[in-house]
Amino acid sequence: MPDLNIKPGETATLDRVEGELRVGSRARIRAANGRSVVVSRGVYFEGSVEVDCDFSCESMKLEGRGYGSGGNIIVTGNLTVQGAADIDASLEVGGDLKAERTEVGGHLKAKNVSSRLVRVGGHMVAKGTLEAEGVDVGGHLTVTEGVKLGSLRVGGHVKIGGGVISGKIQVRGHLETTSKLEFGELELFGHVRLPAGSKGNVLIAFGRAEFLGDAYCRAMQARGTVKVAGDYSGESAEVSGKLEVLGSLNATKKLEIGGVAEVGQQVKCESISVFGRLEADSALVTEAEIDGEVKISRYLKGRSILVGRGSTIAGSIVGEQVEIGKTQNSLAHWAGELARIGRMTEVQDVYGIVVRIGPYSRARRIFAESVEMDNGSIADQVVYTKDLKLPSSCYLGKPPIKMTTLPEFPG
Amino acid sequence: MVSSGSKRSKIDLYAKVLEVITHYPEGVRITRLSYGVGVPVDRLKSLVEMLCSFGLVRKSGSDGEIYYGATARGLEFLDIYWKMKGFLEEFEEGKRDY
Repeated sequence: MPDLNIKPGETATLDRVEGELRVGSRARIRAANGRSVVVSRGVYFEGSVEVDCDFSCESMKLEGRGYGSGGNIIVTGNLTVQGAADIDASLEVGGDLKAERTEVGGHLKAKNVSSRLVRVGGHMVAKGTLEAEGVDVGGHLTVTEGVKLGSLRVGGHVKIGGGVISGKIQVRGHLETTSKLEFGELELFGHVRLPAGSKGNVLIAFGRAEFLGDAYCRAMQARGTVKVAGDYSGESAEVSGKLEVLGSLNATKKLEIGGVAEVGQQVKCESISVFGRLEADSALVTEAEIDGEVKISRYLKGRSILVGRGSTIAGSIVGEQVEIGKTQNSLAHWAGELARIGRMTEVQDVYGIVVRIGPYSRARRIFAESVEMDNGSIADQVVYTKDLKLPSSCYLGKPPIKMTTLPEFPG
Repeated sequence: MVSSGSKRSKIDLYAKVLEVITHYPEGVRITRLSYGVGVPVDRLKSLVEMLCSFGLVRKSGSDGEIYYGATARGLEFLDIYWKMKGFLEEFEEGKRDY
């Protein structure tokens, strides 16, 4: 039994209510002191109610009758709820909203919002800041200023003024931020444009992600399109869609390219696997496995470079151990392999300590200490310092040359 | 068809209903769902029943209240829907560039 009942349609002038308050539909609440009303326990709304002041209570609940039947709560001042605000319909707060838990079935509007957990079935608009451990919005989310969140899940579009989202972000639509964003794990299906200085832990882009300057992301999966208008750095990157980096790409661990990667300057990583296409100015790696297409302006340099059958490399290859066309690498993508059946493995100049050219592979010039060629292989020129193994049916454009020292390697 | 423009198709509406349902992993009542989707209860009931018949939504009840939740198939549909929507929007943008 509530301690105070406000009848439907009534206007009540209140100060402090000890106990529970039940408010009838279309009622209005005003503050006797002109500023605020405090309810020591819970408030139950039967329908639409307007509160013309600051309002504070232990908990708040409204069970609606469904969309179109009203049931919206309007608080013109600040709203403070010690426990849960549980509103089936919509909640509009002219000032700030503070609650332990905010559950709104329809739309939520407020100025600054601070709540441990926020769940909104419809759209949410905060004309100030948003601070919460977890935010879950079925529709769109708009926050004019910055956010400080643990996790964020939005069924529509997001527009925020930068900030920090330390945990997981899942956005079905587009994400727009006017200031730099620091994120934990960002999974997006639509578009995101991140201002310069944005950085994160993990980015999984099914849609399109654009970094407007240098970018740092520990691990990146570009399943859609990722563009970086500066340098990209991180631990690893996996590209099954398209990655465009205007500057350099630096991965301390692994770079896997099944789709297309276009890098304006240098690619530098511990290991690289290409079963799609890579274009770059140069590439500096420890290990490289190529089962696709590589176009390098200057050189692809590494300790071990394995080029699978049917692959093509434009640009110089520089390595300690280099194998061209001897095997199909373990990471060959089946679609790429089908396209490459019957195709010759083609590379340009190869510089190495030990260079092996497999069957039906073609190289331009080879400079190495030891060179081994297989049946059906072709080279325009071979220059070596130690050993040369030539089978009966390989073709050399010029007779092989043995020298005491090799010319300087590129890179 | 999945629409990339402003008019909502039936598929878009199914996706909207399912999307809001997935934001309530513990299940959601039809009245609360109606506010999130922005559709009156009577019309929403027929949409939800259709989704149940497709196996995308499941019903559960306690104390006379019915709660709706997404099935694994419903989650799979949503995943494909959003990916397809992303592709269609990119194709539209590509068309404008030409």
